[in-house]
Amino acid sequence: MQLTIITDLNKCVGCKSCQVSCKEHNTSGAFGPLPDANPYEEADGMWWNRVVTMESGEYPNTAVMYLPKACMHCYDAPCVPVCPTKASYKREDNGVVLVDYDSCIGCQLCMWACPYGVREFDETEGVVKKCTMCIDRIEDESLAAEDRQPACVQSCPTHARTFGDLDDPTSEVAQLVHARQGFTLLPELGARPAVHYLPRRPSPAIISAETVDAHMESEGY
Amino acid sequence: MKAPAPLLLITVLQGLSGGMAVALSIEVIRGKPVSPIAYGVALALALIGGGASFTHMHHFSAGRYMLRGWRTSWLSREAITTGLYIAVLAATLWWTVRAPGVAVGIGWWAGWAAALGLFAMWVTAMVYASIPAMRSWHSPLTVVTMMTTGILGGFMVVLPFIGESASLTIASLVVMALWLGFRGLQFRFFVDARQGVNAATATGLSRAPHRLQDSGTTKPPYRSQTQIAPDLPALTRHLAMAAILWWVVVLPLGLTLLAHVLKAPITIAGIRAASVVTGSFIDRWLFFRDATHSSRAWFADLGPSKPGLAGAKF
Repeated sequence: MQLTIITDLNKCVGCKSCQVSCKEHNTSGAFGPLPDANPYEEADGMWWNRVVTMESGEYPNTAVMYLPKACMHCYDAPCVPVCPTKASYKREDNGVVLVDYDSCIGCQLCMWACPYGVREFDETEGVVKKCTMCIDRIEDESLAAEDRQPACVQSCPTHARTFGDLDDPTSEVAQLVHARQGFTLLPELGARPAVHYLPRRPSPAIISAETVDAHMESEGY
Repeated sequence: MKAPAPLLLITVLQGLSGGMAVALSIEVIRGKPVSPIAYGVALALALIGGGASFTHMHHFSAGRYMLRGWRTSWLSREAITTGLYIAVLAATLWWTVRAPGVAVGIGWWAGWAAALGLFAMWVTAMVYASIPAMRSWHSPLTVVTMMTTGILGGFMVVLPFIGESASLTIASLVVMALWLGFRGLQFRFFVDARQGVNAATATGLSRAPHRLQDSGTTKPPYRSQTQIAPDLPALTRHLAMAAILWWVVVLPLGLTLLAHVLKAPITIAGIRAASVVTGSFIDRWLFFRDATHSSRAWFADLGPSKPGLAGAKF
């Protein structure tokens, strides 16, 4: 089993509700693992999920894309073998990559080994933290079935994010990746991320009125 | 990325100590008397470096689990090899104090200290060279440059303790030439890594150029993600390179020539050693500070002329 989150980049509008709901869920309560000591002073504190806004191309052929980026829960997670204390580990039963805060020494080598820049150093506790795929929610049997999914997935207003088991060919995520040619980020680095993105549909070709007129005239219309 | 002071100390001082152990073992093999002070300095450097690495741990109580990951983690192996090296070096020092000069058994201990010094240097270099995401470091050049830096520095630091040694001076000049070649290639590798940040595969958007927009909460997380740091200005980079060349190559070469003219080799050898050590620290600072991480594609510095838009284009 490999739990994952699939994001449809056609549906993501960059509203950051996934980013905010992640922070809200993981800082709530006295023992929230994600610190948020000065939320009104430092907007750019610790985030386990960051929405990147990327613009590409030259005018008029440009595109803007919103890319929610959190832990990719890689099959060959490079952050796991570098850890000297085995604090970083990948769950065998569901493929989620987690950090044991009690045995993390805060050396930050896993942050350097992660190709995606999704691990964050908690200066107050001196340990490295990251997206847990809301493992506390998905394994909490006291929650209703519709609530047993990551906060970012549940909060997405456009349903751009889908949660499920990538290794199960009958699951919705596996079928989406198969049917829509889902891709991973930085595949050349060999981490084999579990998190996939569904690609943008191609932009329509821009043809000016003059080009159309010239073509019509050449065809004798 | 940021250049953490504890890592500067462990990598430079452990390299110097290992280089000293190699130089001293050569002298022992050649039948020369070895000063216990030289071994004492090598041990002190290794201890300071090893001690400094403890300060890089931010959750000290978890340090007891440090060796759990030795099968896969080069950092765990570094703790083992550095510890072993320090132990053997201490034993070698004890032998030299017990019987100053050439003594039965010292050759064996000196040989082991040199071998473990080189091995510890190699393992430390592999901590950095084995990270594919750190584009500037993921190369054999990291290993050979770190090792030649350590050996060169160690040779230079030993020379004031053992007096004039033509063979060791020539050996250190050969290592200096090797270091210069490796460092030149590494500088080129760093440039390629900087230019090779791949925004196309990092976003799935193939159409270049790519521009990052600052949308308020996606500023570069320099405080909480130490693998990236504000881009080093080109002037600073080139000044640092010039300083490294001056302290590691130009000044030591000039001092070597001067030593022959002035007939005061030990004083000049001391200044030359200080010069190479200074250059080694600047070199290691640049190694950390100028390194490019693959996540750079998603975090760019804000351009002063374009508020709201990232300055970097890929």
